[in-house]
Formats: sequence, C-alpha cells, structure tokens
Amino acid sequence: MKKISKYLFILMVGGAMFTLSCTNLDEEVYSSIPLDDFFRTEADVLMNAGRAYTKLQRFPEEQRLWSLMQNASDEMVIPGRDDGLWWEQGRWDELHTHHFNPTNKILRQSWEFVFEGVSACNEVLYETETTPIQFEGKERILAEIRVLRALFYYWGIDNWGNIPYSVDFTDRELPEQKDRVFMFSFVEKEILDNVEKLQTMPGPDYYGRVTKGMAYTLLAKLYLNAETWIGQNMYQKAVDACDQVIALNAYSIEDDYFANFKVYNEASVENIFVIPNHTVYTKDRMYWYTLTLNDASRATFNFKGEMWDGFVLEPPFFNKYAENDVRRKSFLFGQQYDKAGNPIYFIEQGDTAWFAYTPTIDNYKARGRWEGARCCKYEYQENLEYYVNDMENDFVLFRYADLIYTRFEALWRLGRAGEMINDAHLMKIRTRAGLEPYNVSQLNAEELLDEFGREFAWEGRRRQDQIRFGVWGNTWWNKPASDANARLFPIPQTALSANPKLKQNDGF
Amino acid sequence: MKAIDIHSFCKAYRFFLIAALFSLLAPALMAQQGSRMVKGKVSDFNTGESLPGVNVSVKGTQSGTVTNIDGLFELSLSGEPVLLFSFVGYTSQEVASKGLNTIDVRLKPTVESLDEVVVIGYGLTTKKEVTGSIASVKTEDFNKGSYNNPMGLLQGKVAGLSITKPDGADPMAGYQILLRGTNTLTSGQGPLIIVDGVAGMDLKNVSFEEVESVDVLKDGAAAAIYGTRGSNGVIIITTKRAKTGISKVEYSGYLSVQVNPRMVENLNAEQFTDAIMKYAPEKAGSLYGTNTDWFKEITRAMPVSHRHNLAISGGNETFSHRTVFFVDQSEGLLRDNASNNYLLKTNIQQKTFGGKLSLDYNISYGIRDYKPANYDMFYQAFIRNPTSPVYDPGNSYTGGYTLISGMDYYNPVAMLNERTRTGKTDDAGINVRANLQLTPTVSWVNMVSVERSNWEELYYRTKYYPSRLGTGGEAEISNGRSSDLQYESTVNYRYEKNQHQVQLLGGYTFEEVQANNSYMVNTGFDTDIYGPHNIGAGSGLGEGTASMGSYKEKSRLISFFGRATYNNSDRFLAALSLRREGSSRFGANNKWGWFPSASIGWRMNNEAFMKNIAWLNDLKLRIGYGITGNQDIGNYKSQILMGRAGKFYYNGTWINTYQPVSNPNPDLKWENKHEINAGIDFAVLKNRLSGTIDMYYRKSTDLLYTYEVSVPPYLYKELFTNVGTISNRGVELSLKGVAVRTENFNWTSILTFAYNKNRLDKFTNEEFTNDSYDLGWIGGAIGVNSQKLREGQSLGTFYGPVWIGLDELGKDLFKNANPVGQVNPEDWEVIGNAFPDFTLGWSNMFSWGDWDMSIAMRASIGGQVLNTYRLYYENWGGIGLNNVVLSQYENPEFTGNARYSSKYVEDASFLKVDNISLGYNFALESKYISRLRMYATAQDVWTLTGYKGLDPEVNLGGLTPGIEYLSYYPRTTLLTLGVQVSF
Repeated sequence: MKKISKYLFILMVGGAMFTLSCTNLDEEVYSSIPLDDFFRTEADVLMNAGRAYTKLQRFPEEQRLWSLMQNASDEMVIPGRDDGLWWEQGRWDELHTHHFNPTNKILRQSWEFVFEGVSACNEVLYETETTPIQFEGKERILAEIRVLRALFYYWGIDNWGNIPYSVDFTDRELPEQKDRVFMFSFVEKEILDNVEKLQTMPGPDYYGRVTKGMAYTLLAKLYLNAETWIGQNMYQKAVDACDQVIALNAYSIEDDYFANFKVYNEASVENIFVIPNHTVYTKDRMYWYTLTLNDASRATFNFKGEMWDGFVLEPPFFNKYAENDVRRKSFLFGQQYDKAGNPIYFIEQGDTAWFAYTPTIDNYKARGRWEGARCCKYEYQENLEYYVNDMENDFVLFRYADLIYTRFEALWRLGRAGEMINDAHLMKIRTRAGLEPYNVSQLNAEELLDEFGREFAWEGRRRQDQIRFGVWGNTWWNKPASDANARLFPIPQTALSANPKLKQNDGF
Repeated sequence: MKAIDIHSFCKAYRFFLIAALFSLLAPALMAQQGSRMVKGKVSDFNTGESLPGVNVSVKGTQSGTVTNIDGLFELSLSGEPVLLFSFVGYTSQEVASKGLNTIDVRLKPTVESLDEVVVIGYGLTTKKEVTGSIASVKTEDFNKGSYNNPMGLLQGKVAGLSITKPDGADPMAGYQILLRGTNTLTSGQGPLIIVDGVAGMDLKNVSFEEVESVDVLKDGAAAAIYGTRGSNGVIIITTKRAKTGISKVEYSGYLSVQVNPRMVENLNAEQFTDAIMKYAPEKAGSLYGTNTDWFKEITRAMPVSHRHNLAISGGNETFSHRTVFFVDQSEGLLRDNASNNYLLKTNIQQKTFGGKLSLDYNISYGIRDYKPANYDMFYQAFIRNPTSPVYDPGNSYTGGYTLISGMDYYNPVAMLNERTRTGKTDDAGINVRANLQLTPTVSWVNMVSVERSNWEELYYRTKYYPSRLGTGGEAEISNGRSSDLQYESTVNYRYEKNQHQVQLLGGYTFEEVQANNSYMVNTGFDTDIYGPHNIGAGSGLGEGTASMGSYKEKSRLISFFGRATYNNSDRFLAALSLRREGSSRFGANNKWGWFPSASIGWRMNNEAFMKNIAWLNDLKLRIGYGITGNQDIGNYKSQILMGRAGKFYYNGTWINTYQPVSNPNPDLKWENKHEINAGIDFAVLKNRLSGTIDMYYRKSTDLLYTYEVSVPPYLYKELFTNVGTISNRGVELSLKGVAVRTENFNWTSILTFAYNKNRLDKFTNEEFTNDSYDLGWIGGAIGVNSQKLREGQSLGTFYGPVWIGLDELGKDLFKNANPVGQVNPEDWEVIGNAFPDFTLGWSNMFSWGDWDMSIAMRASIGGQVLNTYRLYYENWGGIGLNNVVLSQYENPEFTGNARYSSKYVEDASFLKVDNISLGYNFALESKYISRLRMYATAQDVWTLTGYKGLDPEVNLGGLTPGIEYLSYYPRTTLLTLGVQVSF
C-alpha cells in the first residue's frame, strides 16, 4: 500500500505540473499578421498609407457612388428589361424618378464608399504620424492623404450635404453631424493647408496620386458650387484656383478626345487625377463593358465573358449631340460590326436579325435587348471577362478640359465670359469635337449645360451640373418633377440606425 | 471397528446399481411409456448469442433445468407439456413441446429494464438514477436499413432531436441535427458528438453496423459538464466493444438499389410544345422539335450500392479484441457521382495487475474516395428547354453540345461530361484509455487520443464546359491536413454507507486542433489530356490570372471539471456538476468561464405510500438546471489582424496594401445557455409501458451576431460581438410500450412527440439599436428579402405581401395593394414561419415466430416553406428559354410575372414513412453458424404532404431556415436486401 501511494503521489504531482503548464490559451496566428508584427519598415508604412488610395478604386462600380449620381441624372438610366431582369424591385427606378428611399442598396453602398474612405484616411494618418519611422516623402504622403480625405468629404457634401464629421482616429465617440457650411470651410482649409506640400509637376512616379494640380482643381470645383451649396458667390476664387493649375503648365488638351480614355491612358497629357486600374489587380472595379453592352457585342470586341446589358444612355440625351460631333462616338448605336468590319447578324427562327442598337427605347419597363445606346467611351480591350480580366483603363476623375470649362463657367457667371472666349485650350475642346468654337452670343444656360453634358458624359459630373444650373427638379424622359429636397440624397437607414446623432435630410 | 457387513453392502450396492441403471434407463423407459428427451438451445433474439443460465421448466410444475454455458439444455418430458423459458432481463416465453424433440428458443430482452446502463458525461449510470434529461437508444430500437452515417439509425427515435437529410439521395449527404430548436444565430448549431470517449469525431468514420447504443444528453443539467460545447446537446455513441468468450465472426451485407427518383416536376416536350402554342405563341421559335428528358440524361437508371461489415472478436478475461472491416460502395443517382468508404477498426481490451489496470485501445483507419455531385446540374435540367436536343454535332465551338444563349443557362449533359472531380480522404485515429483501480473505491482514468486526417480534391473543367466556352480549361488542386489531440484525466471516488451512496468525479481535459489547407487554380489549358495533373501548363500562370492560397489555424480548449452525485436508498437522487473551461477563441478579457449545473430526482414509487401500487413500476420526478456555452465561432475573431487590401500604384509599380481584417473585440465571449428542465419518468404494468415527459425552457444570452456599426469611429461597418438573447421552450413526450404480447406475436411501439417554440428575445442594446434585419435574399428577377430577424419573434419568420387570389385577367391580387398593384414594404405582414409546431415519430416493431417486421414514420405539423421553384417558374413569363413547373401547366390561369408573396409560402406539414422492414431469422442446427438473418428494407418510402414542391423537409439551420434551394439533389426510395450471419 505504501508503495502504491508513493507512486500515486508522484503521478499526482506530475499530473498537476503537467496541467498547470497546459492552461495556455494564446492563439497562434499563421495566415494573417498580428498588428504588433506590422509597421517595422518604410515599406510597411507605404503599404499602409496606400490603403487609403485603394478606397477610391470602387468609385465606378455598378452599385456605388458613380452609379448613384449618374442614374439620378438625365444621362444614364437602367430600365427594366423585357425578360424581367434589371427591374430589381424598382431600386433603379427610384433613382431615375427621384423617389429616393433610405433603404436603397445603391444609396447605402455609396455612403459606405465615402465614409470608409474617410475612415481609412483617418486611420492611415494616425498610424503614419505616430510611427517613429522617418523617410523622405513622409510629409508629402501625409499631405496627400489629407487632401484625399478632403475629396471624400467633397463627395459627401455634394451628395448628402449634412454629414458626420470625424478627423481623429483615436476618438471613439460617435461623430457629430455637421452642415454644409461647416464642411465646406473644412474642405477648403484642408486643401489650402496642404497644397504646397504636394508634388508640383505630374510624372510617371506620381501617376494616380494627389498632386498640386489635383488639389487646385478640387478647390476650383468646390468654389464653383459654393453658391449652390452654401449661398456664397465664390466664382472669382474659382477662377483664381484654376489659374494656379494653368500656371503649372503641366497639362494641355489632347488632340484626340478619346486619348484620355484609352486602355493605356497613362500617356494622356490632359488627365489630372485618375484611379489607376490593372486588368487583374483591380478586377471587379472597372467593368463597364459588362454593365452596358449586350452579349452580341462580344463579337465586336472579342470578349470572353457574359454581358449583363443594363446601363443605357437615356434616349433624349442622345439628341444633344450634333451628327458631326466626334464625341457622339462615345456611344454605340446603329448597326454593329465585328472585328473584321463585317456587320453582325443572327439567324433567329428563320429570319435574319441585324444587330443594331437603337438610341430609342419604346417601353421603359420592358426594354428590348438592343434598345438604348451603349457607352464605349472608355476603349474596350480584348478578352475581357468579368472578375478575371477587367478593364485596364484608368478611370478619369479630373482632367484639364474639366478645369478649363470650370474657369469658363465661373467667368460666364461673373458676366466676363468674353475674357476667355478666344482661349486656345477652350477653343480646342470644341474643335477637336469637330464643332465651331463658341462666340459670346451663343452662350446661355441651356447651351452650356448641354455642352458640359456632351463633353463629360458618364464621367460623374452630370448631377452636380444639373443641380447647379437649377434644372434638377425638371421632368425628363420618365422622370416626374421633383422638389427641392431631391437635391440631396437621403442618409441611408443603416447609417441613421448606427449613429443616433445623425438626423435625416428634409423630405425623407 | 465393526466389520463391514459384506452382505448388506452387496445389497446396498445392488440397490444402488439398479437405481443407477434405472435412472439411466428411466428416460428411455418413460419415453417408451410416452416420455422423451427434449433438447435445444436458448439464445438472445437480437445478437444470436447463446444464453447460459436460462430456466427451462415445465409449466405448472417444479421440474425443469437450466441451460449450460453454450445455452444448451436437455430435459426429460412426459406427455406434451408446455415449457416455460425465463431469464432475468428477458421476456419469458412459453413453447408447446407437442411433436418437437428439439426446441430452439430466442429470448428478447425485456422492455425498459431499470438497471439499463445510461452513458452520461464521463461515466455511466443506470436509468433509474438519472436526474438530467437523457434519452438512451439501444440496438433493438434503431431504424432498420442501410445507412452511410450512424445518425440515420436514430431518426425519429428521440423526442426533440431533429435529424433530417436536406440533401436527399446524395451518397455523400450528411444529416442536419438540431436539438430543441435553434439556440444561436451565428455559432455552430450541431450537437457535440462523442464516439467511445473521443469528442468531435467525424461520423463518416463510424460504421453504422458497429453502433451499440446512443445516449443523447438533452438538457442543461446533463450537458453542462461539457461546458462550451454542450449548448446544442451531446450525442454519445458507444460502439461494440471487445468481448471475452469464444471467437466470433459476424458478417452483415447489404445490397441496395435506388428506385422511384423524385425531382421537381416540369413539363416534358409534348406538354412544353402544347403550352407554348396555347399560352405563349410568340415564343414558338423556341420549339426545336426534339424530345429530351434532361433529368434522365444526367441520372443513372438504377443506382446500386453495397455495404459489408465483417467483425471478428474474441479473447479471454485479460485480453480480448474486436476487429472490424467495413466496405461501402455507393453510386449516386447523378451519373458519375459515387462515394466509397473503407474502414478498419480494432478495439483491444487488456487487464493487468490483477485486474486493477484495464486498458482499452482503439485504432482506426479509414479511406474515402468520392466523386462529388454538382447540384446545379439538376437545376439546369429543370429549366432547360425539353424540345432542344442534347447534342449539336456540327458545333465545334461547344464540342458538339447544343448551346442556347441565356444567362446562367447551361447544357447539363455538357456540365456532366466536361468535368471531372474526385476527392480522397484518409483518416487515422488511435486512442488509449487506462483505467487504474487505485483502491476499491477510487479509480483513475487517463485517455489520450490522436486523430489525423488528410484530404485532396482534384477538379478539372475542359474547354467545352459550358461556363468556360472560349476561355480554355480550368484545373484546381486543393488539399489539407488536420489533427486533433485530446487528453483526458478523471478520478472517480465511490462512497457507500447505509442508505447513502455518493460518487465524486474530478477531471481535466486538453484538446488542441490544428488544420491547414492550400489550393491552386490555373486556366487556359489548350489540351484536356492532362486534366488536373499538369497544373503549371495553363496559360493563366503567365498572364497572372492563376491563383493559389494557403491557410493554417490552430485552437485549444482546456477545462477542469467535477461532479458529485448522491443517491439515498434509491428514492432521493441529486447531482451537481461544475466545469471551468477556457478556449483560445475568445477575447483576451474572457478566455475562461464557469458552467455549473444542479439536478435532483425523486423516485416516488419507492416511497412508502406508493409501494403498494401494483401496476406502477417506476415513477420518478426530476428537475435540473444547467449552464452551457457555445464556442463554435471560428478562430481569431477577437483579434485585430492585418490582411491584404488591394493594390496601390506607387512610383510606377503596383504594391500591396494592408488593412485590418475585421474590427477587434477583446471582450468577445461565448454564448451562454441557461436551461431548466422538469421531467417525469414512469414505467407501468410490469414495465410494459414506459415513458418520459420533459418540459424545458432554455435561454441563450450573449448571442453573437455581426452588427452594423458607424464608420468612423470603427474601421469597418460590421462588428462581431455578443449582444442578443434567444429562448426556446417546449414539451417532449416519449412512450415505449408492448401493445401485444402473446405466445406467437409481439408488437412493440415507440412514440415520440415534441413541441418547441422559439423566440428571439432581444438583440439590441444602447449601442446597437436596430431591432429588425432583413434576411433571406431571393435574387435574380425577384430581388427581395423574404425574412426578417426581429426582436420578440421567432427566427425564420417570413414577411411578405398577402396574396388574396387572381383577378379576372389572371394577375395577382394582394391585400393592401398600392395604385400600381404592388404592396409597399411597410405593409408586408408575417406570412409564415419555418419551424414546425409539433414533431412526432412513431415506430412499430412486430414479431411472430421467426419473422419480424418494423415500420417507422415521422410527422411534422405546422411550419412553412418558401417554394422557390414555384416562385420563379410558376408563370408563363420565362417559358421558351426556361421550362416551367408542372403546376402552372395544370392551372394556367395565372398570367402575371413572378412576384414574391404568401402564395409561395406553403404549409410544410407532412407524414413520412421512413422505413419498412421485413426480416426472417433462420433456425439453424449448424455447428458453425449460430445465427442467420435475412431481411428486406425500403427506406424513404412515402411522403404525405400538402406541399407542392419536392420535399417539405428543407434546411432548418442557419439564419434563414425554410427556404427551398434551386440547386438540389433529388429524392429516391432505397430498397435493400440484407443478410446477417454470425459464426
């Protein structure tokens, strides 16, 4: 018995020791990086900072900000198809008819696009500022991120007006809602404080990054809309900001309108700020071909994937183009041809069906498969296949023509359009489109608005322009008249539920 | 010493001799005078084992004998009396001896013996001492038939345990197991499965033939000892162990064939043509004139499967083994879909140190190779135009298959032929349990278990696979490894004094689970010859479109636990348990938790005032309370980790960016379930009728869910955190009775009934105030959410417009319709709920002579299912390209478009006959064969339901139960011929 109890004792003690050492529950991570192991070198800091830029990449997607703004305007529409697709319980119809709904998915995702961008910028600023690692260009990167954040807030003010304001990553409180006046001056100040630290001349090393040209262009646009947004006439300041960009002598108007939208548009001298794309690295971001074209167009462009055939040009908009306007070629209409130049046709039930897009649409709720003009402004490369090889064209956010026209409009509103009427860049915008340059007597609100529509079709400016020219409430195509409240989108329901400090915009 | 009187001795001797002779001859003499010798063998009805010690007596007299060690007996009878065979634990039998010289008898174990062993956590107890809610199912109550997974044996046998097969006749389909409703939103919903003491075993590695008994720990009091894995109940499976005694060989074989395939019904070519001519003549261009039965094209006519189980056992008191070989080859209904399983398992039991140390070794090795099914093929077979031919020989672009252009519209025969997918898994496991009897009252058990599993899958789609036309073949190789190490140490102490019996248990367990996997995908193969075996040869690698990835994770679970049980003269019982458990998955502030339970029982029939009630054999009242947790949430959820975020164009090159993968949550903890359960166990009429009634209320708090948060200040719009509460309450009833018991005929019936009500009590707090979430997205042209998650309501509640009929033009009419004929989302009402109100199971076993028959049925009352096929395809809108459901052809009045409403949310009540089995036991005289039984079984025989779709039993787990899937696997009836032989 004694022997047994001795062994027993040893076993018990051994067991106890074993159990004490085996109460360790720390998780070992293999396939992600724990935060403590990050931020060791300059490369790490850059990789982290770059994350804020990647938030821009989602801008041209099907259900995000670009789509929201365009579908609410008069240049783009998504009618229900005759086979039932694309109606999607009327969520696109809500945008077209201005019956905005706080639970609309596109609205919610656009909001998330803007505020995830702001949040990423806040976080990156905090991490980059606090890391002890120093490197050349750190100040510049910080300035870039601040102006990038200002860009996101600019979109916020443009679309929702009264938005949550948050600039301190360490502040865990729910952000307060600030009105347009406050946010406007914040954005203005951010740009002015940081613009001098930015890169002056554009170049391959700064492609896709925030530069002085971009910052002043943003500032100019901000001032141009000041009267509409906060009731202050700042058109002179807009002109001055434009002059800053012109003074750089870094940009000019391309000879070929479409050079800015080519697959490899890095060489464009007109683009000021773009979102760079790569066919594989940024797949599922720029996939206009699949949104707008019908399957039959595969033969035209040698695509591999299937087309979703949903986004079309609103029929009345097509008529704004004169027949000889080069820019009308941004849209596909009429007989379609394959790569060899032969017209495309199909034998269906014994008949020959010639594949042609018609710019008109008979039934808004039952669009035929080949009705509606389609966008081909951005050049389509071969072998595109959604989610495998998407478009490589860099998406243009700001370009020089935009800046020139901004200056022009600001002067026109000041009654001084004559000062610029013979400007070489200004005239080139018209002549390269095959049209006569303007003279002062031709200028009126309707003509200017139409011209901006023609020049910047589908680029993301239309809604802003229509509001500024006061026509946002009008009727067009299937849209009824809408009241002043429609100039702002409602704040999404999910944002209101998550942050009780936010108040919904009037009228919703 | 007196001299022996020789004379009297001789006299005595003669007398003795004559008496001896007489006694030897007497039977013969008596036989000649009408008496004879009768002999025979008595064995156990179920197992065929010989029963020694059985009383064989002449009815009404005192004479008789007892069977020997081999179960044999010999008795001398005069006349032709009735013999009575009786044995403790078995039902007595009477046999008339008229005309019989050899009488072999098979005795059946008695219904509900109170000393029946019940497995509880980390130990055993008897049925009469149990104070928690535990259901124990033994071999004779299992469902008959052939199964790919042991859970099939229990279907319908345990009240409150729902075992369903939402994937139909797929040979690889598993069972969905839910106990007492849904107790969580996002964590795992399956119960903890323990096989022979090892937790979390994959049931595919257990042969259904080898299951001896299953014990289900249903309530909190019983399952609390399993801490954070006990919330969904614990199912403890005991397989057949090594037995001492002579060597035995047992073989069971099953040959099965699947018949009567049932799929969603669409129109055949003739009906399709007729429908278009009548109702959609503008689509006449879609009539191609051939007659194709797409379903037949992709299925086998009579899929065959066979299973064999060979078990060899034997040994003596100190060393015995049971070794099992199991082979399962099953063909699926879908062509090219099959599953093969090969298992080798051995259990060795050894006793040393004079019986003080007993060792139990289990070694198992299993190989599975399979060809998985792609359920989408059945959906494509449904929607595809039946007048279009399968092949288009002139079409070199498609490889000779007919191509009709349409979104998500593929030729299913092309999908079948132009793809190969195979998988292989090896599982090896070894565990050793050492039980050391330290003193007569103290024993110490240590167990170590190691399980390893490797798998690999190869997948290749040729350039003619419909969704890859024009892009070249695609190959994918994926594989993985996992290992599970468990160590358990428990000390058991027994104390008895007078009427007090106390048992104390203390223990420690440690478990570490590790898994890693990797995959690679490449495209652009110009030849299909390689298949997946030259994955570098595709052009995608150079173009940058090939992808690969790998992942590894590890987690640990550690706990200390103890239990005390008290028994006072079998009248008053009590049990207390406590577990302190920690899991690596929880946040840094909450790694450890306490899980207590307490339960008491009162055996009323042992009380003085009840002792004289003759018809009452057992009446026990019990009540228990316990707290369990749920840690099935995935690893690393509490940490802030950086992962890749996308690419950024910097200084002329693309570089990776990083971001947090989720919002960190150091307060992350498990979900807690509190449960109170009150029950009554009873047995009456000499144990002829017994049953259990349980009433329970269970509440899970700190429910984990992904909440939407404000960005900023959070990094992401979602946070995975503990907020809500969900409760389930219900009643369960279980009855087992011998309805008829005569000399020749026996009828036993088991009835189970369960009622459960689920309620999401709360999932808001000061921070998260949104009390309603839209779920159950129905995509495509419908584009709505069909369910809402709402505080105060049950999970799985359908919301939608209320349909009131068709107008004279055949368009839908809805309640509260707006001017355009639709219903605004704010006017949607509750139109159904996925969970049934009541579930019932009823099994009947009959036996007469050598024959036996059993029928098992299940019913479910209440609950609704969204019939997605009718929703999308019960209209004329898409006909031409698509087919439609048969019900639209038979009732063609509806002319509108597909719109979600209560029209498609149907009652899912059903009655199913799960299996019917007829068996015959051969009475053999062979020296070698001790038992031979043959039987025929039909499984999944018949369903009675008002549901218009394929099967009202759809997925009931997850956040959106009750929605039928478009990609499905058909149902079949399985006919099996089986033989069981014991040598």
